[in-house]
Parts: sequence; C-alpha cells; structure tokens
Amino acid sequence: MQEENIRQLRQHNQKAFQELVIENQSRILTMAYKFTNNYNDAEDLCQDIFIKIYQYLPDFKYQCKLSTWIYKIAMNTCLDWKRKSKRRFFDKLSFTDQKVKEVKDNACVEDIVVYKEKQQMVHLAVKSLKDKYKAVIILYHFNHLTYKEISYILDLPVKTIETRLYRARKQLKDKLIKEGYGGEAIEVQRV
Amino acid sequence: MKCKEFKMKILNRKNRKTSDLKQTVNVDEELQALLNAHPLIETSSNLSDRIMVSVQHSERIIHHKTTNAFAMKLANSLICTGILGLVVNMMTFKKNMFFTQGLQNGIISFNQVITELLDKLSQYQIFN
Repeated sequence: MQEENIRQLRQHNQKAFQELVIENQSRILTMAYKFTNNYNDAEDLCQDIFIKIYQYLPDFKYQCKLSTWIYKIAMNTCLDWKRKSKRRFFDKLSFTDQKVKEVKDNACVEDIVVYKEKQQMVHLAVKSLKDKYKAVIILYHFNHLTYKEISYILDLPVKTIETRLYRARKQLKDKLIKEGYGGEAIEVQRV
Repeated sequence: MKCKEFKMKILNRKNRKTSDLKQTVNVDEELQALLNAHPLIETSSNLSDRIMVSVQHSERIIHHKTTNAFAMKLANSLICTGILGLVVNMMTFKKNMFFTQGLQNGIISFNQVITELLDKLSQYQIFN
C-alpha cells in the first residue's frame, strides 16, 4: 500500500478507509467465521474488528506491513471473542452461508458439489481444532502469510509457528481420514 | 447422508488395510492444496456500509468519552484537593470550631435535597 494511502488512513479519511474495508472484509469475515461458526456473529465480529482498526490506525508505527498489522488486530479480536463467548448449546452450522469462489468456470456440477463437500469437511476439521492451531492454519493457508508475519501477529518465535503448523496439519489429516476423506482417491488408483 | 457416510467409512477401512502409505501421501498433498484454495466468504456491500456507519458512530462516541473523562478527572481532582485542604487545615490549626454544627447543617440540607428529589420522582411517576 502506498505511503500516501496509509497517511490518509491515519488521518481518518473516510474514503480511504472504505476502500480498505472493501479490500479486506472478505478475508476478515472468513477468519471471524472460523472462530464463531455463525454468520451473524461473524459479521458482528468483523464489524468490531474494523472499528478497532479505525480507532488504532493513528497508532500504526510502520513496524510491519499494514495488512499484517490488520491481521494482528483481527486475530487478537477473534481470540478475545472466543475467550469471552460462552459455550453455546445450539451452535448453528450454516454451511449455506459459504459460497465457493475458487471453483473453475468450466467445472461440471458434480465436481462443484464434490469440491464443496471437501471444503465443508475441511471447514469442520479446522473448526474443531484448538485455537492456537486454528490461528496458524488460518493465517498460513487461508491468508497466505509468511512464518515471520505469523510470528509477529501471534507474538511467538518462528520455530513455535513451524511446530504448531506441523501439529495442526497432522491433526487435520487425522480428522479428515477419520471422517472418510481420501477414499475416493484410492478407489481411482485401483481402477 | 448418513448412508453415504457409512459407505465412505467402510470403503476407507478397506482401503486403509491395503494402502496406508499411498493414502497418507495423497491426503497430505490434497489437504495442502485444499487448505491453500479454501474459499472465502463472499461479502455484500451491505456489510461494508454497516461497518462505515458503525465506524462513524464510534468516532462520535470516542469524542464524547474523552471529553467526559477529562471533566470527570477534573471534578475528582478538585473534590480531592478540597477535602485534603480541609483536613490539613483542621490538623494544623487543631480547631474543632463549628465542626459539629456544620456537620448537622450538612446532614439537614442533604435530607432536604433527598426529600425534594423523592417528591419530584413521585410526581414524575404520577403524571406518567
């Protein structure tokens, strides 16, 4: 992001901030959804995150990229929300809220359905992870940040991030295999 | 859905016995690919509008909060200074003149204020 843009953001320029919201809201909302597992709560949390970003923008000291700083605020707010929120007995699983973007245009309906099912399984597996592992998976895989950036966001050494990522992937793999993921691939190999 | 899951589980068990290694490799690669291409939730302009409104609203709240905080701090410091001054004066001059009378008057006036307040409150309730 350009220096001029950041300067405008720090001065609470509404137009610049709106652009920032439009640019980042999808990623932040997805991150919030992974913690809340409820679309309405995710939207509320997303709103809180952007209010915090707006409030603390003048304090941004160019220690890192603006996007990393935004993720730091988002992740801390999500973790706070998780800590404060009580356990819900009627935890809604609204998968219909999720819309798949990454499917290729020429893919047939069956492929899209299979892909969606797979991604739902991944979502459920990520959801069931502990917060410390979930955070690493979200930042590394869903937002494509580097180890260094994640280490800054979570305030942890890079080695710890590596270890957590390894453990998180292992747990995800175990969960997915337990749920029956991987059967199709082997069936194809046999044929 | 349950039937499908059951079938998948049975199929998976069979496969696991024959080719555990192949499966692990497949899942590892596919899992990484799936995670990297995990879809984002599509957002509407409605949400961004809502965020902008709340942000503008929060700005107003912050402004009020800061001014209130300053006024409260000033009032607190003035009250504390007054009390401290009174105590210091009493200790230095060691005079207890008019203290009891003043206290009595204070209590009486305080009572009056409370009674007036209660009257007003009762009137308010009656008219509503």
